[in-house]
Amino acid sequence: MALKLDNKALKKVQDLFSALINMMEERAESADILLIDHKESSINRDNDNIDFSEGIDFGIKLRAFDGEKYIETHTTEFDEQKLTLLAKTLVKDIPVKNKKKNKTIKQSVKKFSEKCKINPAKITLQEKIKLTNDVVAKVKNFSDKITAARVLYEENAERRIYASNSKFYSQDLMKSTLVMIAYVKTADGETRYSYDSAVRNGFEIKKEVDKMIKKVGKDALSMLSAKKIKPGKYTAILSPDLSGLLAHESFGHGMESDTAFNDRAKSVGFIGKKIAPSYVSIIDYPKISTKHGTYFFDDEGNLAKKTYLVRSGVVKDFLTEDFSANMMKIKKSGNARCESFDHKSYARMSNTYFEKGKESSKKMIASVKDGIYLIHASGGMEDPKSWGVQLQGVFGQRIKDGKLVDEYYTDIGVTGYLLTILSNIRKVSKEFEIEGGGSCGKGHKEWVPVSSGGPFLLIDEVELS
Amino acid sequence: MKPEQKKALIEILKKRKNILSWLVLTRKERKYNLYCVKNGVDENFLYGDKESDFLVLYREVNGMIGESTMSFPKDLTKDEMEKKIDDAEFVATLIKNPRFNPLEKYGNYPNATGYDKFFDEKDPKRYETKLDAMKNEFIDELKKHKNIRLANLEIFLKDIVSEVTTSLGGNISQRRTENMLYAILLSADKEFASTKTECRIDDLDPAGFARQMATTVLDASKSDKPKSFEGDIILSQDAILEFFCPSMHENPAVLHAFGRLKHMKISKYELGKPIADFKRDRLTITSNPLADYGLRTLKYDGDTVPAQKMVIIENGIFKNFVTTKMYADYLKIKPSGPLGNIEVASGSKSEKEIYAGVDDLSGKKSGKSYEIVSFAWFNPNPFSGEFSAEIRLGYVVENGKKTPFKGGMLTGNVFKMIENAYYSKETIKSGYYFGPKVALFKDMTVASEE
Repeated sequence: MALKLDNKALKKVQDLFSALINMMEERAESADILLIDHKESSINRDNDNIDFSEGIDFGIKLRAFDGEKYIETHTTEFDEQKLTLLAKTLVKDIPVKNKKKNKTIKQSVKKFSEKCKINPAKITLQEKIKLTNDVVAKVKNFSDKITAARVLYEENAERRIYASNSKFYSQDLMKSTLVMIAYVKTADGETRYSYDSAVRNGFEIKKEVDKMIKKVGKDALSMLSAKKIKPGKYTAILSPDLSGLLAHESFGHGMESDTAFNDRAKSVGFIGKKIAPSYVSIIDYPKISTKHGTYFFDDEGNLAKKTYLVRSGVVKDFLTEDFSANMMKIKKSGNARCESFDHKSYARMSNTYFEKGKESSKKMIASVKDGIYLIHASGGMEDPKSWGVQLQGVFGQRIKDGKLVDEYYTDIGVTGYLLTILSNIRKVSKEFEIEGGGSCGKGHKEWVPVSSGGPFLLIDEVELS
Repeated sequence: MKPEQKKALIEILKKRKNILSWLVLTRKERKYNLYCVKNGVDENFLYGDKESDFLVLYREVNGMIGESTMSFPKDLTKDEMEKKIDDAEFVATLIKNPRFNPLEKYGNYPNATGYDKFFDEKDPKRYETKLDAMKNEFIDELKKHKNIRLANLEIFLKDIVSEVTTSLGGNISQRRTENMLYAILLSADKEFASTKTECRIDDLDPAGFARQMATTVLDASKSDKPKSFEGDIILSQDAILEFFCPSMHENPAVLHAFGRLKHMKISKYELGKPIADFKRDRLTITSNPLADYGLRTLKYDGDTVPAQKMVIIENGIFKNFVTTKMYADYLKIKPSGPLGNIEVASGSKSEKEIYAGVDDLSGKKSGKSYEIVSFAWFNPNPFSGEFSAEIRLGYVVENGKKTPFKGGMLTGNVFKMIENAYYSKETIKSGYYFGPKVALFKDMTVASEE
């Protein structure tokens, strides 16, 4: 990371930021500062080639609220003089009103950090390169039908510091991500691929390799014979990955407070109403450990907490950022996130999932006479206004007479009306996993890391095409 | 990176005998963003500068070429710079690829203009005034249309200057501007979202954008789900942009032209051979980084290869790979330079003929087609071209009449689609798409529960 901050240095940052905030609040109603110090390194390896890149994204955002709107600016320079000038310039046009001097509040100081089992900083680059070399070789050797393989190993280490007149929080987050892709060619020359991903805090991700290779290899071979599905309604079992995507795309976006405030969320008319069976709950929880969307406080200094979007079938609470939460006069959930210091914060998800149930996933499959097991997808799109569901690039396997059979489908689209889908959830499994993750966008921009996972779901009459 | 730091860095690099070649890259970004919530109320005004610097270096390692790419933090002391370069050299001994020639001296660089001169303006107040003016232009136009509300409006202005200094003694720079309008409108219980991104601020035309969106959202508010359909599909407005320039990755027809994919034996293209079995209009796609004021107007790529206009597919025949220096050397071809603005050649039919369903092959006019103006998300499988995309707004076109619909899934395969297509003679320019205004694809399927 760009800044080495021991406790002494952190105290200096606290003092500097407090001084800047006090200066800004001579004019602004409130002010805060967000520092992001992010280091990412990645090794990208395919059959014949390898590349490595390492990047640092460091910056400081200063933000002031003038009573009606926010004004914010940013810099990549950690320089007291520059920051002071920026702070003065930021608020210079805010008229000085008869403002009550903000009470001197003792700052609440909190420090958070994620722990890992194997610190990647203690693992040599040679060992990491060897990992990627071995993975590519093993994926290719899984079958002679696999024509190419690719692996991405990525490490992210980040410190975020938030300061306001009442808070000084810092969090150290770390993630290691492994993505594997296996390519096959069908008889008529079409390239297909399967992939798997995992996220851990540290180099302990190495332990997932064998399991992932088996999965990605098996799925790749299944891809060879995968057909397009005949459009229609099917009984479907959603894997943890798919159930996470459903929770995220089809419901989660519609519970973001800025979406609700702008009259774009159908959910507003359903707060407190039952929309799903009592065994269905949907949660967003940033502090769930070791996941792609994990954090301890949001980018507006609100502590992260577990939020029930749906509890026992009833629509409950929004995921908030300050502006819309204040306008709607609702409680804050700690979900304000920005892509980086030079982006605005929006209400965003983190780790969003269906709460686990009581059913056995094996018994769920055994109970389906004719249906599809939906395994993974390339992504989805939200429709908060109409509650339309759209999941794309889904890979599935046929279930016949209670058993998974060797019949596969590729590029399935899952659509439908959310209320119908939720009402048709018949079973929720006790098995639960959140393995991978990806990036979530808001209007094809403002990308933040989120996880994907949850229990298996058995749903009747799912529209597939 | 301050000039004196850059000078010191270059002096150190020049003394390092083990380094084969290097590039010092600097990128400076300046932005001004306005965010409005419902009814055009300002929520946030954001402005600021961002700079990032990178060092890319290459060295020979046992007959292979080692490489590393690393951020280069500001304000390092000389000793810290030496250490950073030591680290980069060490990484390059481990990250090795089969031999290629990373850097070459090139002739002249082109002079296409890819930025808006408005950004020569130094006074930040002028940008705030400009953003307010654009917002008011958008809202004033909306007021002329009944039954429409503004849910969200975002206007982003961005200026990007990049500079590269290389071990060959070259020093080149390029400047781009990227300006975006993003809006969500509501009418009754329906919404419509659209984004417009242009190099020049004035090309955003907030009033025109608002007018088009207003028509679309009003139609969305009157729309029902479509019936399932097999037949002609017309793509227009946002949908044709999404088809040729999807947001997540290149259209598969362009992606298979990438040198990397050919080297990995994933691309199905062969030089000089058709990319599909064309029965109607044959596709011609050109990469054009030299067109003025395109979003992908560039002078050079990451390897400093000069930009050039290059035909990728000509009348359905694959002509040229899009490739970095490394993969060009592996494939024993010339590097292409950057992938530029996507130019799709106009077709054989007028817009009128397309909507009338004129078909040379059958000699008949199809009586009915479905026109799609916007997808929820068009995201084809990058390799197979398969997709199923939900329709955010479309029209049933029959006997000269258009009836709006919303919903249903268009399913298909990009490579199959282009085999049976007509492209309009009329063209548009939007962002980095320069191509037909509308396109008709035959024998398509819209799946719907109706």
